[in-house]
Amino acid sequence: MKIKQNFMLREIAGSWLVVPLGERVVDFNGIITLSETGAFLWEILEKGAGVDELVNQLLLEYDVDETTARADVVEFTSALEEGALLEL
Amino acid sequence: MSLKEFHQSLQKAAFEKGIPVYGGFELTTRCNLSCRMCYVKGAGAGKSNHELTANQWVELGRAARDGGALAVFLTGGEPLIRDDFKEIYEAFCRLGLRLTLFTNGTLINEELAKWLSQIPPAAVDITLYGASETTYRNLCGSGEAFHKAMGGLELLLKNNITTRIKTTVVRSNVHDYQAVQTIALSYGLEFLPSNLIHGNRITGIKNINDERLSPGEIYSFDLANLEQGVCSPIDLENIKGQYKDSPAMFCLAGKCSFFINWLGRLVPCNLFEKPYTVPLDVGFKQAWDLLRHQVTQIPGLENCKGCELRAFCPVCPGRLYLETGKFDGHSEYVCLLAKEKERMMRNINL
Repeated sequence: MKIKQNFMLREIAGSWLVVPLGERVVDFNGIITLSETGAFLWEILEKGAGVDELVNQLLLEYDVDETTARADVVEFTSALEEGALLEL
Repeated sequence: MSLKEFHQSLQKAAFEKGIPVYGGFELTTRCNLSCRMCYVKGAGAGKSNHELTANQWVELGRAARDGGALAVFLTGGEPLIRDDFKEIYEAFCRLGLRLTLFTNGTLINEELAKWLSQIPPAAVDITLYGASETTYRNLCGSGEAFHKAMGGLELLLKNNITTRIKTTVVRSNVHDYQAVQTIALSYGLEFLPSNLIHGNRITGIKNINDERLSPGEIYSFDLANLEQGVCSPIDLENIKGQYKDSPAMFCLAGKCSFFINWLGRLVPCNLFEKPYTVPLDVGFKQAWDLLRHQVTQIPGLENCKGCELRAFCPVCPGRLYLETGKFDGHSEYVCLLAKEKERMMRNINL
């Protein structure tokens, strides 16, 4: 899975958000707000990663058990898929 | 979280931390119209050789983005009058900003609308100055401009570009107010009227006195907003006293919003010619920090100290400067605006 091109992740005033760039505004005219964990996963997905890799990265970065991490990753990537933000 | 909730939360954090998340870029003061109440007219009008280059604007946009800018607008004059507008716009579109374009709509043709639809802004705000050729001729110096503006509007909509309608209500177009609103509603567009015009940045109020409405007339257009704020007579008395000891600069300007004028000067908002700093000389961050400090040095509003009508008053140092030539001058017009708003709210409550 990989985030589609032409999105920019930004941190502004303590908030994480994603802004569409250029022609991406045609199909996404808005802003995505993310939690800190969401931003962490988004950055990995910009380069491309599978569910297992995302879970492993979460386990390395955060004090969380694997079951919770996997559930969070699935929920997050499903939301991105629903928003048509991922190239599968 | 809705976009509105997000912006409220972002605004609060940015205000507290002094991050310039909102901004305006005045790409030019040139315009193909000549509106009688224009607040920019005279500020180097027609002198394109003094304007910043496209590269300089893009440099400023990037630096503002790096400083935390998110929601910004491109304005003028008429920004589309610049030969290199596309170059500036395309670069801004890739900076990670939420972009709004302010225009009079008259220069939008098939080709431009199609190009814009491929890299659209978050919104285009078209200002309609009336609903007829006659009104445009009297107010803007060109009757044909009405048809061009309507043509531009329709091209934007045909190309699925998010568009909003603005209008500036003055003496010469007040009779068209309902008709302009009807145009916006007929297209299902958000309508953003403005009836509180301020003085020209160069000549102050001397050229707008004939055009601006009286405070009573202004709030007759503001009724819808006032009605949203309906409160009990007891609350009204409580509101009256609020904000009476507020600081001079009461808004977001110079706290978390900025304006870069056509000369590349960073100012608190489009009402101000000074204080200013020059981000192209010292870098955006230093210019912003310096401006924030300068804003705190603007003198307090001595004439307004303890005034119980501050809660209803549009007073600010920028407006007073344009009215009186002093940041803390006394403007009878502004005082009347506050009195009239309080009176209108009281009448709604009755």
